Amino acid sequence: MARRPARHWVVLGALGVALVLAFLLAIAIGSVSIPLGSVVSILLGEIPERASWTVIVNDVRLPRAVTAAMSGAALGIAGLQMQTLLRNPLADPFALGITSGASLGVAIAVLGAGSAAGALLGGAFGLAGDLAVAAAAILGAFAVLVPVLLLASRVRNAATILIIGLMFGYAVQSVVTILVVGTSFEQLQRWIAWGHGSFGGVTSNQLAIYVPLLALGIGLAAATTKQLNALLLGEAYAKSMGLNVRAMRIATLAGASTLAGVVTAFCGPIVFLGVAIPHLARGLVGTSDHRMLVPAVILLGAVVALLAQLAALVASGEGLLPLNAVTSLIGAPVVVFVILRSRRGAFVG
Amino acid sequence: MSAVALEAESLVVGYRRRGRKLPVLPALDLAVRTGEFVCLLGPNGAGKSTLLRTLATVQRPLGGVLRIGGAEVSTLRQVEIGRRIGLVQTERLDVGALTAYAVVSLGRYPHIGWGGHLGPADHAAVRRALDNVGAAHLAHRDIGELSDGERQRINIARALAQEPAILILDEPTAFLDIGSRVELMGLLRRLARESGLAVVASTHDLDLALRSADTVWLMSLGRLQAGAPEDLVFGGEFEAAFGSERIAFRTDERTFRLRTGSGRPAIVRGDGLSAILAGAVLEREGWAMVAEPSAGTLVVTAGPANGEWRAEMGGTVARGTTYAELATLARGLPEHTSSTV
Repeated sequence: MARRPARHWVVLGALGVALVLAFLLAIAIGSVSIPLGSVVSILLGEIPERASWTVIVNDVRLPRAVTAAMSGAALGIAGLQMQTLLRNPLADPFALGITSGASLGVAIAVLGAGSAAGALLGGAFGLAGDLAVAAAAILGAFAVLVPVLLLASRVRNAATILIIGLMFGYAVQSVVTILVVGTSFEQLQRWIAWGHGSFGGVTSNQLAIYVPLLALGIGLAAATTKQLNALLLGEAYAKSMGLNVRAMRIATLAGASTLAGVVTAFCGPIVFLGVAIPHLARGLVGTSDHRMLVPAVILLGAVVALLAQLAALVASGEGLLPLNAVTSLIGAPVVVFVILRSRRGAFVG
Repeated sequence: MSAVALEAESLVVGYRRRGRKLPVLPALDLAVRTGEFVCLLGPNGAGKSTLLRTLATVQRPLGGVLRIGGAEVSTLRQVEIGRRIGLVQTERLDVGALTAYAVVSLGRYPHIGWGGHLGPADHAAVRRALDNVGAAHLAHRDIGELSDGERQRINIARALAQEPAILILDEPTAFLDIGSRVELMGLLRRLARESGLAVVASTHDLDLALRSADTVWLMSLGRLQAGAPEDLVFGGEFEAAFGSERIAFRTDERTFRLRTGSGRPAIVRGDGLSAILAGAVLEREGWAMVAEPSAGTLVVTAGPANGEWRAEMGGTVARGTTYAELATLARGLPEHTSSTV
């Protein structure tokens, strides 16, 4: 960590440029074609030829792009924290059962047959309905997170936490499956749509909650790069060098859970970004040093999420291609690559 | 006498299971002084790692008091302990995509601020640590590319970068080849002597430990005995700790030998290395060295040239030019006979 070769800065610079381009692309491209010049002028606050363009850019594309960028960064950071903390290259928010917990919350809200929640969810994209689903997902995520955290504070071995998280995840998933069986077709459809994942469902109003919550979680990771670096050697070494391991573990798990829980609540269970982004970032900057890795993961996560969102949109025209189909296409090869490459822990966080 | 760096008073080490305390040893009173090199010896499962983890404060003691430089550990914050104790564990450093320099820099953890920025003094300490273990040339190599011995030295440099007063190492020689083991033990001794560190290292290299350590802590049979290596040898402690039906501790050589064969009498005559090697062959084949010949004693005269020997038993004489031939002969000699050679 002494003399940082220029490579790190080149990579970060390139990622910064890529983010700006991806963000502009995400706003410029959509089902309604709007000239690039008009897009820029709308962003600058000018009035374009057609008033509807302003609405499309400001109320649809801009929130969607911001959501995609923030979600990608958040999932990448949560994955990085989990991989470093558990010293497992395949750890990600799923491993803690967080995503499953959020799913449970959504399942209860959406599928709760004939209940008040079901009535509330009548409007496909009604604000109240979305907020109810989001709140349910967050509650569900924390309902799983709290017992996992309680156990985590008592368990010595980080790998055991991974197993506990996975087991909680499986158990919760089966509860979800039971809930899904025998619901009405309409509700099932809504449930499946949520499960496909989308960055398009977050409104400008919701961004006022979404962005600060994620910024808080990302900020925690950015403020603890020194501690994360110490954890690279394992918890015993980290402790022997002066880290309060228990406090750090709880803070990191809470941070990662918030990031993954909030994203899942608003966008559905976005798969693979959490596990794939940190590995891609590590490969790009060529170091496990979190002082380089955290900014790289934030930028790369945002870029990849924006591009995945674009790919899903362009490939289907109307955004019908599920986001998760795209992220899995990116993520699966990366995970395979990592497994093949990870002899001697070459990629272990 | 130098100051006490690490002190344990009625320290009980062990595990907690379901609220019950499971001590591995009775209460210990131990002290390590500045500049002292202590080797912790004992059979597998004696609790060496548990003791070292407890002394390094990574594991909580079941009872008693642990003091570092006079300060009670329970009154110190973790980061303050990090400035006083450096730990090196048995398992190889399993971390990827970091340079050796970056790994050693991690040792600056207890000295640097929240942002993790290394100042000039920190870089100087990292370089000093690398120089100390003779690994300056490895600084910009990736840790994953290094050999086990190099990696171990980097890990020790990382602990040294903490600028601790005490260095605790759990079987630092475990994965090293013999040359690296000798070098490492020499390094630990030099660190104790020249840098004034209190060094505690566990090892299975009894021979090396007895030659390098100022003090030996011998753990076995549920107790720990401390003393200069020679005092423990003299007291027969090693034989009691490690000896068995098949293994004998040779106090004169301060090493262990397999008890082989029936121990028929043999004498080796000759000078220097030739005689020593001829003796080694006979001992391996189960002969016992005696001072005076009697009926049925195998008398081997080594030399004059390297590998040459002449064996005589009950009037029969054989000669050879390699030790392999001598071994064949010693193996083939039937018992209770004095005629055939």
